[in-house]
Amino acid sequence: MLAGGLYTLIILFTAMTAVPRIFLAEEEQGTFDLVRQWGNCGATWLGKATFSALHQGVTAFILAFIFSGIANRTVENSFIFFPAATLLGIAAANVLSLTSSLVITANNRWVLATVVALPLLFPLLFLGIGSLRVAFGEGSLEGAYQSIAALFAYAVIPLGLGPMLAESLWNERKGPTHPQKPTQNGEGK
Amino acid sequence: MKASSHIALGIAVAAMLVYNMMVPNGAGFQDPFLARIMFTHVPSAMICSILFILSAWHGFKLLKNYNDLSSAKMHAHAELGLLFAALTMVTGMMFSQVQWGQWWHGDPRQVSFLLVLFLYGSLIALRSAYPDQVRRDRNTAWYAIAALLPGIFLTFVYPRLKFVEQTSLHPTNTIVENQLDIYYKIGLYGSLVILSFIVAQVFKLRVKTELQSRTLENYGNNQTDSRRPATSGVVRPVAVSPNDNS
Repeated sequence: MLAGGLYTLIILFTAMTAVPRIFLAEEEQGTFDLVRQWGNCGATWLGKATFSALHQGVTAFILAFIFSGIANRTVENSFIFFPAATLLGIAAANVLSLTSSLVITANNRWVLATVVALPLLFPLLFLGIGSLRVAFGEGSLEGAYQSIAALFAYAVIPLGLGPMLAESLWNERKGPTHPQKPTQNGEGK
Repeated sequence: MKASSHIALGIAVAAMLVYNMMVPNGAGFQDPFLARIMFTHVPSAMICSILFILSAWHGFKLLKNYNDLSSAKMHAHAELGLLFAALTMVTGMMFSQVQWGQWWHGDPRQVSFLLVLFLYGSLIALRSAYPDQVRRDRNTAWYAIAALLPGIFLTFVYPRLKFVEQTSLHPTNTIVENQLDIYYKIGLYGSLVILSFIVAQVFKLRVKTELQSRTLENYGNNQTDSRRPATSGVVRPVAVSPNDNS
């Protein structure tokens, strides 16, 4: 259980360090405005999220080898371990892409990116432990399959929400306008 | 709400409190008198879950068609939901101390509900990070929708996972499996109804004050110097240096 928890924490912290940079650093450098003006916001988000998911998936896969070597723990069930580790990386990347794109224009965005993402990432900690403890030889296979199914859902659902979120929040050309039209006497509704 | 309704609600609350104190002590508890904590703990958890779902629903409505009313309702639901989540947490910790000997038992149910609390605490933190009202509302609405899935998972799915059920001391499915006697059923559902009425009243007041504060905040923003309404898209010149005023 300890090995599973430790590995899950490593994946979550690598994702929390890497993924927000893909969104926030570009906003601070000013290049994000250019991308947003020329490209479709949903497609831009999907591109960034796919890149971060691939990046974290590969990172998790490589870290799985390094971790099992350094921690000197034998992986009892590789068919659970590698899919769970890769899905964990992808799910963490997608959730972080969603929250980073949400805080992109906020004050204190770097701190807020972590604050907002952390509670959404905690269930991943449970699911990661739930699946990886079985890979290290503890618990039942049924629990691991449940956790892997939930990890898959966690990895896929942000991909559905993200493009809509980006279209809604990033599209400054439409502009977030206040819809209250002034009435004849000049007062709002 | 009329004064007579206030009095009726007050009487109902008093009657329910008296009834809750008069029910027989619960069997199988370290302190049998403390079984009554379920009259606050369980309805609070139920109300908080409903409020979070409603918050996401109003967030969805706001994103579909932005208006101040949906925004005020979304914020009011989230704030009240957070309040009831805290109440659930506190009553749960009190029960944990008496029944299991520790304020924080590390029980999976305690941890999962703490995460729900964090989830909606983050929503309030996110809201305070945007000075612009429209941007604040829209970003919060998205977060309320995105937080709904983990919220539901942590509240309804996670406690029923096999490895959690095996390790948790928290009772599960007590109501579904009809394990309560008639006295406790009346106490539980009566408390739920009365607490719901109180929440509805506080909710109405919160929405009203939010709308009024927005009216005050926006007062005059849509007017020109001659007090006539500005046409849509008008841009006023702004002095950026003292020389610009001359």
